[in-house]
Amino acid sequence: MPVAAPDIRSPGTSVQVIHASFNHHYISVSSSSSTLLQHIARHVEPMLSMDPTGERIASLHLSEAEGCVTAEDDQGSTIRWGDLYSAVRALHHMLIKRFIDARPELIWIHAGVVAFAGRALMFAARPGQGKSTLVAELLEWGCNYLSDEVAPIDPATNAVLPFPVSPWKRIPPLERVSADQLHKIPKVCVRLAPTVVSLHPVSLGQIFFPRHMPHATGTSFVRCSPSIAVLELSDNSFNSQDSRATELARLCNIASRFDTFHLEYAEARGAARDLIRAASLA
Amino acid sequence: MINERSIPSRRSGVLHYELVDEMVIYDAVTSQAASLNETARLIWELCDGTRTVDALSAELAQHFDMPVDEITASVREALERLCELRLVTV
Repeated sequence: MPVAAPDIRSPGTSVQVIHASFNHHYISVSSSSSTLLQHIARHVEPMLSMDPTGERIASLHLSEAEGCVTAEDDQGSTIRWGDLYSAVRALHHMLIKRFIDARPELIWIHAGVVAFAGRALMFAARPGQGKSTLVAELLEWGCNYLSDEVAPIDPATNAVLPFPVSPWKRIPPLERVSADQLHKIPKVCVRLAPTVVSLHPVSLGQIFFPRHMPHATGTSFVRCSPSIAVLELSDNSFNSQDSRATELARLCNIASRFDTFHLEYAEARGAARDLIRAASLA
Repeated sequence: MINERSIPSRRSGVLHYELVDEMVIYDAVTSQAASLNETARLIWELCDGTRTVDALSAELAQHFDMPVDEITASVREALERLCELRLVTV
């Protein structure tokens, strides 16, 4: 059952506020423009909390005037964008970065993650390899949703924490497109039923490095060597460059404990079916 | 140019992380990381500044129970790549 779009109203007050929560931390975003807040909310809808608990790590106030959007944070910094699209996109990434900065003890990977049979299946790749679309297709197969974009791993437990930004998927074109053209296909937001979103950390199961190969005849899984997996994960890591030596040590721990695969596929729907079959047999 | 009498040495300060038979090496100065499979790892470990390329190849061939002439080309390629990445000096 689709979830109703976020509706932000606060009769009698000129400023409204939304809270995006992650694992006992939250960020508050306020604005007198409900339209602006709705655009932001749409990107983090499963993370919204009416009554957040834990520590507030940032507070942003947004304003809009003559088509320009301005954000002021609680540290006195101000950023301005000339159009709504650029502002929403930048603010989405800003929220993610604030959470990453607040939790440096976690390993943050640019990846989509779903849970299947009690284990997390992670898809780590640079933009344009179709991981968001893969995640959306896997949800159709009964997987639970952890993230479309960011996978925080707790190195103490090797569990993936849910970071449920709103998932988006590309509408399949009539013709297959090359990987370098994939990013030009527009994405649509996938509405999730609350029961699909995983509320708790899930133990890591398998890690995939997807490559969209439009001329592939099917789906192929090739086991990735641990040392290659470390470099793949490092390429997709959000953790600070300053601590890369530590990051590599932590990624080596991950790569040596869990199966990693190169995943090549032509279309996401078939790949999802093949992934579920393979996971069911494992 | 690497030849059979060259003596390769690992660059000091390069960190290494063991992964069963493989290894990841990282140079904090250049921020360069590299993955080494089992063979490359052995080559890297043998680059201690005391062995010529010939001696290194012979030792590797003994380890894998292979004729030396079947492994020499691979050893040189690996050393050239490590030199390119500035992880080994000759």
